[in-house]
Amino acid sequence: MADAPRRGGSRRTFLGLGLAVVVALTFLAIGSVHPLPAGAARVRYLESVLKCPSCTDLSIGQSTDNIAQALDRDVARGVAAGESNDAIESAVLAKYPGAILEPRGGLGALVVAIPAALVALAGAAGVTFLVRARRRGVVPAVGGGGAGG
Amino acid sequence: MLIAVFATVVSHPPGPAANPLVGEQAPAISGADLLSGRVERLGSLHGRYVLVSFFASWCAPCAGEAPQLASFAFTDRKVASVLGVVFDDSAGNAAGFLRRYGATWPAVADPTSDIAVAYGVANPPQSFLVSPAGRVVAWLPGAVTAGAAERELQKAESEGAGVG
Repeated sequence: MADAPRRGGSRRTFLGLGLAVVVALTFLAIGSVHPLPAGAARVRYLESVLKCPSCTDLSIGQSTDNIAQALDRDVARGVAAGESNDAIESAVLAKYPGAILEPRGGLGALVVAIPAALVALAGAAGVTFLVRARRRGVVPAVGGGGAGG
Repeated sequence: MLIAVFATVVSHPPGPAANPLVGEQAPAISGADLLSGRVERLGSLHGRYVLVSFFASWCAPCAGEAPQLASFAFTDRKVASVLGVVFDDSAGNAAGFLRRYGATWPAVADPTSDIAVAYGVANPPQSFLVSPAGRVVAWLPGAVTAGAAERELQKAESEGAGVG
């Protein structure tokens, strides 16, 4: 009978460790989805928000049109030259007014914000779980800090 | 609610109708003339006004514009030239177009559209009047008439655009 609480505690430990592994893997996965250097990531972002001026509702990254590809090269040159996103967007907009598909910080930001929020929630849940497990004495304290309750 | 907040973000307003290139140094243009094969450079035409004309054989307004350009090129041949730039078209089709309309002016291909992007052209026809000093002095969107090109030329001359 005395084994029951210990069994429940070790189950919680496994769950906690499992959750921690899931959180770690999620961070790793996100890192592997965006392994691009900062410059390439910026080019990709600008390609996605700048509208192909000779197309209908296509970004310059989506279009195979000559104009889109020429703009693409301009964007890459600008990024390589160290110009800011604003400067590059402004230069394109000066030539092609209205050549923006999505406002900065608009719905496109949700693509980044939602996964980031989910990861943060999962991390917080994992930490909370581990703290509670430590308080119950299921997980030994690291570094001998006297965390037991 | 989050989506609603993001959705209310206003997109960039359209820019002004004026072309930002006007008053600026004209982007370089160079290439082999489609008909003669001779290398043409906008820079080598400095000293004269140059009407840079973006056109394509598939563009109906360009067909309407071509005789007007021919008239302008002939009437103002002492002070101005026309330089065609092919917009998103094959060199063969563009050369056929020029022959069909009796073009007497050189025209260069722009297979990568780099020239078009440098001038901010998304659709032909569009023309830019470049001063003898190499500055863009007028933007003429749409099909140009000989009269409109002539007026812009006279205006530029009266303002002394050729000097600066």
